[in-house]
Amino acid sequence: MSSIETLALPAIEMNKEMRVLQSSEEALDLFGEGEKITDWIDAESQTKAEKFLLDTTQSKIELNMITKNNQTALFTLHVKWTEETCSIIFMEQEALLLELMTKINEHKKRLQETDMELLLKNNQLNTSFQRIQELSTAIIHLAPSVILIPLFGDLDGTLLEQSKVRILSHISQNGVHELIVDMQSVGKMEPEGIEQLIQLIGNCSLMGAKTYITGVKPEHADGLNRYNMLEYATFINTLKHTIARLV
Amino acid sequence: MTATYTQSFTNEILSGDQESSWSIIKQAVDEGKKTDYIFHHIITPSMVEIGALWQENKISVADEHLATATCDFILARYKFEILQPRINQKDSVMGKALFFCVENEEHDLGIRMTAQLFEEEGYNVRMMGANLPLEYVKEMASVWMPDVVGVSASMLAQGKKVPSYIQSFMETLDGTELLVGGRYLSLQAEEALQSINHRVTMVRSPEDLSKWMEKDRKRGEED
Ligand code: B12
Repeated sequence: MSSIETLALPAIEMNKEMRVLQSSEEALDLFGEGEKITDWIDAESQTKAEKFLLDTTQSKIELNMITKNNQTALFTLHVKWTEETCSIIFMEQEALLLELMTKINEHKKRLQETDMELLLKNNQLNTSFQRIQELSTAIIHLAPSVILIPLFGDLDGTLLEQSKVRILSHISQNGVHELIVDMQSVGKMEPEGIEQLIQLIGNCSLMGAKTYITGVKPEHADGLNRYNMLEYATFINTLKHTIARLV
Repeated sequence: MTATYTQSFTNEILSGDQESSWSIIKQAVDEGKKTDYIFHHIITPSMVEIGALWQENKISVADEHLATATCDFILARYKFEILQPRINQKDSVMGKALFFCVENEEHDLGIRMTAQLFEEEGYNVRMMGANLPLEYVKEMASVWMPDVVGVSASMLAQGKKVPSYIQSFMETLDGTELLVGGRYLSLQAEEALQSINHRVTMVRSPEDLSKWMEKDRKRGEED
């Protein structure tokens, strides 16, 4: 019978008139003496309390409560009805609330600090970056069956990734027999980039197009050699010679 | 139309989707809706609806937090994309306006919207944010000397502090207009404010605010 009174949690037992029948010590500490549970509930949570506390199908209700020292605070009430009485455990949400509140405030500050401008610019930049990568691998026709692909920027995992499909479909649609990859404007070279280049050359050759590579800078020679690039493509000294021979 | 805007905006902020929340506001702007309309007839009713859903035990306070954060983003973006270009085109300076919420009051969406309305109108605005103890505001005000101060309170308990803020302001700054607003006002019809004088305006509705702005514009034209 007196199970509530000994609970080490703020808890009460009430009846259908919402009269408090017993309360745990913690509940008394928190809310003080109360005849009805509604005495502890914020004015603007009264309607919600009446509607849902007496609804026996509900087990969890958030309510704003007034504590003994007159603070309004959010509580989650865990509710369980038996025939005539209902036991309620109060869980204060302050800790969770504070944490969430701090997060939101941080978020707000960040907005003010970074400035909308930067935030939106960043989104735009990402889109333009993709466009630039696509454009970095323009396809130039030197003759109906010969294309030149000048690469710009770092040959990393992303440079060819964006344009691989476009190059291959162009080759198949236009009956390209030869493609020249010009590496003159390539900056850094990374293993993923070279692997993708090899893959591209392989795919081209499956489609009947032969690859020439030109414009290799001295600092790139080593790296290309390590991947046995000579097996995949023909290297040519200068673009001028290549063009003269092919076109 | 309002109902659908509000309905879809409520849904989107509850799901925390910044992009689709923004697209609703953007659509309203493109249809020629004014800031006043967007704030008072889309965003405010959406937040009120969120309060109603909580009352119905359909959402939790955690959901309210997410919706608020999304709303915050929308307000910041509105200022940047819509208001800033309009403000840049104007050269009229209407005076200095200072805004804040009383101590312990964290409900600041309303005052932020109000501050933006003043910015669009051509005022030089300082937004001091939520939960501002009286002494900070007084210090700030005595240095910056605003022409108008706007104070907001949402919760009844916090609203009780408003008279002391007013009292103290009237003593510190002579000539400054004071606007009082926020949800608590709409609940307490009879305000126990002995200190009310001609410089204090209680803003209970969007119309009250536009009337005051109109008056201030005329005053500016006269001198
Ligand atoms: C969102 C919200 C929150 C957010 C607030 C986020 C934020 N940064 O603002 C969070 C989740 C953090 C929150 C916390 C709390 N909340 Co709360 N919250 C709400 C809710 C759902 C909506 C409020 C809102 O944004 N309204 C929209 C804005 C735009 O309206 P507005 O403030 O009235 O502003 C308009 C006008 O009044 C005017 N205006 C406002 N200020 C000024 C000033 C001037 C000068 C002028 C000219 C005009 C003006 O401008 C706006 C134009 O449309 C309300 C429910 C409701 N029905 O309002 C509860 C509510 C306000 N909260 C409540 C409570 C109790 C709390 C908490 C104590 C506990 C809790 N539930 O977590 C804490 C307290 C935090 C604190 N110390 O302040 C109660 C208050 C009850 C009471 N007795 O007063 C309410 C009513 C919920 C309820 N029914 O019980 N809450």
